[in-house]
Amino acid sequence: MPAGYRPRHVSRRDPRAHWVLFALCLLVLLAGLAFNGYARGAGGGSGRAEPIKQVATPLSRPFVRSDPSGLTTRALPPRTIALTFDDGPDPLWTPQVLDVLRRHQVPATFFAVGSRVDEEPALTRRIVAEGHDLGSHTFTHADLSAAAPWRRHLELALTRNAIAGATGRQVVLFRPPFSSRPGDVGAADLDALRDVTAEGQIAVLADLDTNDWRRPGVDAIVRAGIPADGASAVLLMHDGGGDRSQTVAALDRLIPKLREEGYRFTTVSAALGTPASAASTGDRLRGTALRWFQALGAGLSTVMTWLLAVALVLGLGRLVFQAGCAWWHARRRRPPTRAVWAPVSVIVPAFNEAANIRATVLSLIGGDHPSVEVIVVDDGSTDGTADIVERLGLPGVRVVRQRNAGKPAALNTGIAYARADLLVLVDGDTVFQPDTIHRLVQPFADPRVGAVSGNAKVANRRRLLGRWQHLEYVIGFNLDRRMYAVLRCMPTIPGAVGAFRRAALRDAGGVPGETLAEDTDLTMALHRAGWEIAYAEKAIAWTEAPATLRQLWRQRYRWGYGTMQAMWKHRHAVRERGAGGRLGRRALPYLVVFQVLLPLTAPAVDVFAVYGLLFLPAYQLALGWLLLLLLQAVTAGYALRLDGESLRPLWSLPFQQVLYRQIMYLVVVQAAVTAVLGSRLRWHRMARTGAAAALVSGQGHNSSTTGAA
Amino acid sequence: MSTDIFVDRSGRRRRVLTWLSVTAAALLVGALGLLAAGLFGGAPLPLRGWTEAPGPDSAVIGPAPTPTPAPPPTTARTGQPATRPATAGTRPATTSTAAQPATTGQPGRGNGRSNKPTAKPDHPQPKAG
Repeated sequence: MPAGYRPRHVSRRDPRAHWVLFALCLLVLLAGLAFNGYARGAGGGSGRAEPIKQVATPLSRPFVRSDPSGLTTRALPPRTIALTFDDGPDPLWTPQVLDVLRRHQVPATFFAVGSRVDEEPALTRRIVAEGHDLGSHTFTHADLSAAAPWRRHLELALTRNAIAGATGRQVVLFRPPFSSRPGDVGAADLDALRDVTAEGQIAVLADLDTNDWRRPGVDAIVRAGIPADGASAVLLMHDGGGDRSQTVAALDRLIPKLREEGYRFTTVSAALGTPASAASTGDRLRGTALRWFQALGAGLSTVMTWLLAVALVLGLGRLVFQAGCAWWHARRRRPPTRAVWAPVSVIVPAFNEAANIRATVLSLIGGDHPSVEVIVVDDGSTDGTADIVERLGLPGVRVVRQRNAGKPAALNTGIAYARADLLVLVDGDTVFQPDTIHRLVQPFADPRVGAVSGNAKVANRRRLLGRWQHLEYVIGFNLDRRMYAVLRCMPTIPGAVGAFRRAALRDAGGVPGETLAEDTDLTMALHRAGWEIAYAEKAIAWTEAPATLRQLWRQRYRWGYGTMQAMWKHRHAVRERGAGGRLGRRALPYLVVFQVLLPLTAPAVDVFAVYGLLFLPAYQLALGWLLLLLLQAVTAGYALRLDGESLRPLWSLPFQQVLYRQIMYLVVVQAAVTAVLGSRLRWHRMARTGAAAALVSGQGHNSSTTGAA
Repeated sequence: MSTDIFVDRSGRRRRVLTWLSVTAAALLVGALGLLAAGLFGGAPLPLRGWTEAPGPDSAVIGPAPTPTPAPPPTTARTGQPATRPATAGTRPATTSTAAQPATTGQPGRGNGRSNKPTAKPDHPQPKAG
């Protein structure tokens, strides 16, 4: 975690054009999911549960069309049966129905649901190829009587196009979903019928509703399918929308029975004398286009379902594992060791840190640990940082000036000047507590320990952004760090507070300058040199977190990019033995999954949340969200308690989901794109306000530093 | 010391990826185009139906009753419904011939039935519920 520092780089503008592609991806994802959600909403069945509002002059015949004089109705010729099947095509049942019809040499009429035609274009073609009639049953089995006129039009047009795209035919026949007999047409239905027939469709109601979709038993369906008094009938059955085994069985018995009674079978078009006609090229193309898009949406929906499931399992697993590790880390008894009182050199690299440097230095020399030497390396500051320190005239504080060479170089300069064998590296904006240094070096009692991470805390947490970062530091970093400590694979000692053995630094080749996250890079190098890294959670350092979104963005961009660089640099650790192997096989996969891959997929998860708002039942969404939030809150609460912090900032947790979360993943997207493109970068320094300084001035240090930047 | 990890000095990676991104963007725009093309546009259905004269097995239900207050007389549409019913009564008798002369001023209505845009005023819609 390097703080605000400015490594020197040749600058080129950050890549930006990828955001257009990114937005397009999200837009297509949302459109695909939404369209899939709309198409999947298709139900089935006939008849209405609630009583209908009667009309003055009920319809008496099943065929309805629009004439200039109004609605005209018609019936079948005498002793004729028109078998009609609604709600298909269904990949399981429609072929069985077709087989029965073929065995008995009987034509029928299929009222297909448009979205299912898009899913089963080949089956739709088979219906037509076997001499049956095709009609429209809306795109999503929508109740048109309850739909707005634009939706009625859309449902009809989409279905016409879907059938045109699949079969090349133009459908004229239409059966309103939930309709059954002409006498059951209510006022609202009649209104919809006028609308639909005005578009040129012929509505086809039914004389006899077999109610097969209720699955009343094969005998009941056969009984219901035989008209009384030898009347002709449009027979309503279903080949889709559920288990239709009873329909198939009943059909096999019903056809011979009707034949025995002297009926002849016809399709609706044949009975009406309406010829089949070819669809226009435009309609066919439109239908095909939408079919492709619907397939795309279905594919995206499947991918998203898996992605969500994986992300959820990983996220929950991580929370549980982290909490378990933290519990173990907090409970374990450390063997009593001889306290470490060896001299310590503290190195403070500073570039334009005028706002905080005085408080930082004062906090370093005022501590419990004896024989502390402080070396401030002024890396070419232009704001008089070095002068401020020199004016303090403190014994044991030395100032080294160098031309601006970057933070790693400044650290190496300081290490070269340092006299002690234990080195504490501190950012110029960080303030220590009196006991921090002493607590930080205690793990060195174990000779295998080469470096120790302290616990960095956010000083400026009054405002929302600071509070969010405070929560993130306590939950994200502290729980993570306890877990790493238990697994012995800590990938980052924060630049704000860390202690190192001189021998370990020498083994790692000093502070490396090849990446933008020199702290992560250095820690990984220490692992690979065979050193253990410890975590001293009670060695607390107060750091100033970015106070504006822009600064936060820059800081996280650098962390994200630098961490990726460090991981890439140390990727061969995966195959190493010992400490390096632990880093490579434990920390690196963890970082790749949780710091790179999951944030990269997080935008899609947010798009899915928007889709859920539109298409999922509200209670389901609310329940899922609340559950996740509760889990987060419990973990956060536990982390806060472990750190001895107040639980009060927890209230800001739900709001983190809205802005903070998006910044955290967008910045990873930006860093990943920069890495993949191979661009060079220009980095900016964080503007210091002196918040960390103000914090210690309240703790008794007589500091009068004011915000200078 | 420079941060050379990930940096591609030749710029080749950037060129290849730019080209790939443009292709991907074109595909995505194409996908949105499929949706737009599928959702919008579309010719109205040329009306066909049973063509023979109404027999004893057919019946006519008059124009939709308007249970809500009559449409205000100031709407632009009011002229049409007033004139249409007068001609409508005679139409069904002539429907059998497709060779309707175009001089009626309503071209393209071979079956004596209107296309969607002109048919609409026949049925003043009460607001759908």
